[in-house]
Formats: sequence, structure tokens, C-alpha cells
Amino acid sequence: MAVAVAAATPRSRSWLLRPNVFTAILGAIIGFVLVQWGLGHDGGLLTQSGGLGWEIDQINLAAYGVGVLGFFIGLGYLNHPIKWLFGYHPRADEQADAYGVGAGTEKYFRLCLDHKVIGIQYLVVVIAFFCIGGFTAMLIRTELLTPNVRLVDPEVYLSLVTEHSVTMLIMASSIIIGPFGNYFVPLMIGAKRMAFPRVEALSFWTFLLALLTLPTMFFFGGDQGGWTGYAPLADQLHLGHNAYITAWALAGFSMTVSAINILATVLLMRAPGMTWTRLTTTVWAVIVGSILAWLAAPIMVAVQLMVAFDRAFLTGLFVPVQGGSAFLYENVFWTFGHPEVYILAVPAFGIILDILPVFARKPVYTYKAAVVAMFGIGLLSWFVWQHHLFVSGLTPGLRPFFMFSTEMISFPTGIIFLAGLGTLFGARIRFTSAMLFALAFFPNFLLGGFSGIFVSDVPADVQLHGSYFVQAHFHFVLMGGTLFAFFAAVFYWFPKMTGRKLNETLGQIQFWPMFIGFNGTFLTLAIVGMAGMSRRYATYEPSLQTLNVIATLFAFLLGLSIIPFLINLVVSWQWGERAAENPWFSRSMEWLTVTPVPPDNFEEIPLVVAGPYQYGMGQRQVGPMAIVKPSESASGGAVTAGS
Amino acid sequence: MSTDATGLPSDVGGAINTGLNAAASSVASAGARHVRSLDERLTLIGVRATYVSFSFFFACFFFAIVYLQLVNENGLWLPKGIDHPASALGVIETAAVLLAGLAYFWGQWGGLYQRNFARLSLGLWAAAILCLISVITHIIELHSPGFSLQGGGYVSCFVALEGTLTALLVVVTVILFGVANRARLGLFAESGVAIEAFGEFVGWMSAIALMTFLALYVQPFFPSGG
Repeated sequence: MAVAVAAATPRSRSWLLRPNVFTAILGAIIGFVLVQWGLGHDGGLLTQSGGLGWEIDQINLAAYGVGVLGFFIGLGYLNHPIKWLFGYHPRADEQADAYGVGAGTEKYFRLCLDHKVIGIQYLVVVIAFFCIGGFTAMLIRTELLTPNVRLVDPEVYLSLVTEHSVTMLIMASSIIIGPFGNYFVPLMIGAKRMAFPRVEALSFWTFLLALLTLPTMFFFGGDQGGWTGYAPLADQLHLGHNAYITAWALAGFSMTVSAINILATVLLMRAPGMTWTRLTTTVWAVIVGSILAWLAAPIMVAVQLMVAFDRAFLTGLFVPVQGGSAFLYENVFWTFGHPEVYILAVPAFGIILDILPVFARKPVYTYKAAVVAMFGIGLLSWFVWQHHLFVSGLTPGLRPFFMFSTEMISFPTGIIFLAGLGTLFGARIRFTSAMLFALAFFPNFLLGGFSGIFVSDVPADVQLHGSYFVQAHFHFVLMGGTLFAFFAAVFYWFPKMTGRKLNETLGQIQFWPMFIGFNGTFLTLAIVGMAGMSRRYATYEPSLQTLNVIATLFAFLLGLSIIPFLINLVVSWQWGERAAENPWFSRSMEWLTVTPVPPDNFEEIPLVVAGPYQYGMGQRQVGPMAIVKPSESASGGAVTAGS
Repeated sequence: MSTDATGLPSDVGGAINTGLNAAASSVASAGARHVRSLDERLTLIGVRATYVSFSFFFACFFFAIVYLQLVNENGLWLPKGIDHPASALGVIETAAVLLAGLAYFWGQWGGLYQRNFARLSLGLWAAAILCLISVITHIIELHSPGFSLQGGGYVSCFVALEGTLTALLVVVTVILFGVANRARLGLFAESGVAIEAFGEFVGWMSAIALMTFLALYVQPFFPSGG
């Protein structure tokens, strides 16, 4: 059913008086304070003396729950579903307003259903929380400049570790799919919108709320559990651990609904002619990442809910003296935890394989094999979780299988690696900033992969488990792979998202310190780990101080490298060089529409006639990827909320 | 922007699309079966994807039951003296959900396939009320389960699984009342795909309720169980 609506009529009220991000945060604070300190204070209704006799964790978790509700009430998210249940159908102008048609910058600060607005909202939040996570990393490294406790006491140090790791993991879960999946998947498949715009918006706002919730742990004694939050320790931690539970539950929910939206979009909304073999590797990678998130993220929500039951109702799911088992937590947690690694990493593979052909002017080498390899990684990621439990004392007979299955992942990953290298082979490469970040992926991820062989090997893992070697390994994989792909994507797609190019000189000024700082930090930490230094301690052997100082100095260089990026982002967004509509001469579909992309993306659904990677075909010159009717209006006067 | 990126005359893309749309319309009108619109197919796939992900969510709780029973840590899976709450409660809450599923299906069949919208409305109201009964029974059961919450692995699993199922039931009940209200207003006459899709979810939820009953009320208390 097609529902074309007219341009939005201007609203008389100032946007600050309508539901927006600030009213949402206010709603969350009011909801939380009402329960935590209103009903839950000494003598309050919920307490022992007040009559209901709730435990302190029950009150705190209820406060988080009501805070979440307050956030969505403040955001105005619940208005539409409630009205729908009462039989109300939105008017045309309300529909257009919901999509931000005709709205200015304010649409980025409120609930908006346009996938491009949501993509940019994701981008800004991802960058903001990357900076926050990075700042906590700098504090951690500063503390580790000396072997003695100097900057913060050990409890706060561990809380900083939790804040850093969980912020980074939640943020990185959506670092590719959030900004670029939401913005570009509909454009790449020739769709006018996402399948479920309200669900897409829900995924963003829940993601933001998860990241905002986590630091509230510092009001309640912090959380010393690290990113894994292992039970039964989790049952005994301060009230701050409830922020961790809430944040992960929200993040898991966000990942799930985001995945459902993207999968439905790709399955059913591809343009005519957009066969499976004409999808870009980015779309394929987002599909694989989304399948993993769709099935694995609910597991994380479930296990955190179980911890919440243990803490709030004193059940003993993970408490051996109550008939529970800590292994239950570890098994369920890592059933999510290892696919989670590939929820982060696989979309990065897709981005890299998408960018390389553009700047190498060659087709993706073994495109189909690379796509199959992505699915292979996704499938294998479900059968490796117990390599995290090699030293836990769990049945030793299981170790060989999990060692073997983990090492099997090298094969599909190697295929993707070779696809990238084969694409570059013999090419005349344009070394733009986007390409530099894409190329940096290879040495970084290679080191991650090589170090991974050691920690997947039982005898080596027994020695290295819990050391800085493991920490260096997963930073090479996750940061070296995902983060560099993210920056490659920002430089590559910024012109389409904003109409302006990022400054190339500032891009190089960012790239080299980042690359050197990153490798310097984590190569040094790998050595520190092999020398026996354990993770998650604020102190260490004095003999390791020199290496720690070196690692910290490199980390500071890495931290400083983000400054030129932030300057570049702000300055270029506002005053940067105006970009041509297809500045990189890419073949793929997102560049075939105008900039700024109109609300409907394409005036007519395009007809796809070729693949996205047919570069350098010489005499067999092929035409463009799709036949697109140009849009007459960039600002847009209509939005098609159907098809 | 006025130039066609393809280099072809600018109206070619539109002409092709128009042709494709016309072809699709003629196929749709010529076919004997109802061809679902894109939005209808999206609604169905969205709901199906949702209950598949919910299945993974609930699988964790069922896995916990199996795991803790097998491990029987310190012999505390089902200590002596621990029994499930009154069987009548378990039977009522499960039967109410199953009957809600049946009532929903009865209404859906009459409304969508026989165009009897009064029956649709009646079926949905009945389903909503039955789900409400189940919610109330769950709350009574959880409020006074007859055992201490620290009473072993079975008790922990019971509270976690029944508590979670109750939360889901509350949400489904609210939606059911809303959907019933929309049916009362005759808003499903044009397209009943929302009813169809949510019906699948209610059916899935009935299966989860039945599995929960079997896992918590029947299996652990078999002579060989525990």
C-alpha cells in the first residue's frame, strides 16, 4: 500500500518544547529518581519500613526499568503505538513530520524515522562514546605508568576498566551496522526506505540509552566485574553492577531489533535486477552481522536477566551453594560473546572489500568466495565459545574440539584476507585517507589473527590466559580491524552523508599517529603479557615498568590522533570542500542518487543492470550499475511510506 | 541534478519502472490467489523474525533447567521438601494461554477468511481476557509459590522462567486488548495481516507456555526426574 504524503506543515511550537533527546533524558532521570530516592529511600513505600519490603537491588533495578520507560515517554516514542492501539491513524502531515520532511537540524535531536537521519545520529553517538571509552583508556594507561597505585584506588581502577570495555563493546557492536548499515543498505539495494522505520529508530534510541546508562554505575559504587561480569562475582558486586545489567540488556535489545529491520529490508526490498550476486560486500557483511546479532543478542539479554533475578530476588542460578553453577553463566555468556566478536568484525570485512576496489580500480577478487567465507565465519562462531573456558576447569575432553573449531576460523578469514590482497595485486592504488585506513586493516588484523592462533591453542592458552597478551590479541582484532574500517568508511562515505569531503591532509595527520600509536601500544602489551603481567590489576611487577611506560606513551599518541579527526569532522562538515556527487568514481548504487539524498532516496525504484565491482574492464566497458530516474528535488516534498 | 547518471535519456528509468509496475499489477489481478503487498510481507517476516529471536532468548532459560538438573550442584537441584506451587495454578495459567491461542485463531478464521468481523472481535476480546486471567494466575503463583527463593536450582529456574514469561504475557495482553479494540472499530476490514502476524506470535507464545508448564510442573517431578 503506497501512502504518499505531502510536505510537513511547519509546527507552531518550538522544537525544544516537543519531545526530543533532552526531554527523553529528563524523563529517564525523573523516572529513576522517583523510584530510587522517592519510593526507595529509608521509610519509602518500597522499603522494609514502608511496607513492601523490597531488597535494595530490587529497588535499584526497578528504578532503572522506570528510567527506561521515562526515557521513551520523554522521547515521545510511545505516542504512536498507544494511538495505534486506540485505533488512531496518523495524519499525512504527522507522517511527514515523523520522517523529518522539511525539518532542519532539529530532526537529529528527536525521534525521526528517516534512515539517513538515524544513520547520522548513530555516527555522532558512536564517535562521542568512542571518545569517552578512549578517555577511560587513557586514565587506565596513566595509572599503569607506575607499578604502584597513584591515580585512582583499585576499585575505581576496575570500574574504569568496566566502563572502558563495556562502552567500547556496546559502541563497537553498532559501529558499522549503526551508521553505515542504516544509512547505506537501503541505498545500496535500491530501496526507498527501511522495512520498519520505527523499529530502526527504536534500535538507535535504545543503543543511546544503553551507553548513557552505563556510567551511572559510578553513583552506586562502580562495577568491578569487567566486561564479562562473571557470576557468582556478579551476584556480589555493588549496586553499580545493575547499570551494567541494564546497559547490556538494552544493547542486546537494540542489536536484535536493528538486525530484524535490516534483514527484512534486504530480503524483501531489493530493487528489480538486484540479484544476490549484485549486492555489495558491505550489504553481505551487514547481513551476516545481523544474522548473528538477531540470534545471539537475545542470549545476552537472557543471561543478564538471570543475573538480575539472582541479585534482586536472591535466587541462585549461578550460586553453587544454592544449586546453581558459575559454568552456566560462562557457557551462556560466551554463546553470545563469541558471535559478538564477529558481529563487530564481519561488517568491517565488508567495508574493506567495498572500499579496496574503488581505489584499486579492480573488481573484488573472488567475490563469491569472500561472501561464502563471511557466512563460514558466522557459522563457525557458534561452535567456539568454550575456548574462553580452557582454564576454567570445565571438562578437559571438550578442549580438542573447541581448539580445532577455533583454528578452523582461520580458513574463512584467510579467504577474505586473500580476496583483499588479490584485489590489490597489480593495481594502481589511489592512496586517499579512506584507502590508507582500509590498507591498515591488513597488518592490524593479521597480528590479531596470528596472536589468536596462540590463544586458541590449549597449551599456549593455559600460559597466556588472563594476561596482557590476550588483551593485545583482541585489541588487534577488534580495534585494529573494526575501528580502522570505521574510519575508512567515514572518509569514504562522508561526502554522500554531508555533501562535503573530509580534509585529506588532516586525514593523513590522523592516520599515521593512529597507526603507529595503535601498533606500538598493543605490540608492547603483547610482550608485557608474555612476560606474565595479568589484566585488570592496578599494580604490577616493577621490572615491567619500562615496557608499561612505552605502551602508555604509544597509547597517548593513539589518543592524541583522534584530535585531528574531531577537528576535521567539525570543520569539514561546516566549511569543507563541496563534494561531487560521486567523488571517488564508485560504481555502487548509493552514489547514483543525488546529494543530499532526498527523503525518498530515489524518485523511482532503480532497475539494476550490472554488478558493483566491474572496474577496469577495458574494451568490455560495462555501463553503470543501475538505471535511475534522477530526483528533481534534493530537499524533497514527499515521502513514500509504503511501496 | 538533472543529468541521468546512466547517460541514457532521463525518462528511461521511469519508463522501465512504470512498465514493471504495470506488469506486476496485471500478474496480481490475473492470478487466482491474493498477492500480498510488500508491507504485508514485511509485517509477516518481521513478526516471524521476532519470535525466532525470542526463541533463542527463552532457550537460555530451558537450557538452564537442563544444565542445572544434569549438574545437580551439591545435590541442590531439587532438595527434599521442595515442590512446585499448587498444580491447579499451573494448569489454569497454561490452559488460559492455550485457550487464548484457540480463541484468537477462531476469531481470526472467522474474521479474515469468512469476513465475519463480529466473530473476529469476539475472538480477540476472549483471547485478551484469557491472557489477563493467565497473568493474574502467574502473579498469584509467583507471590506465594510455597517455597523459599533460595531453595535450590529448581526454585531459581522456576522464578526466572515464570517471571520472564509473566512479563511477556503482560505485554502481549496489553497488545491483545489494543488489537481487539481496533477490531471493534472495524480497522482490519481492509487488511488483516496484522491479525495474522500477531496470531502467529500468540501461537508461538502458547507453545512456550506449554513448554514452561512441562519443564517446571511435570518433568522435574517424574519419578526419574531430579
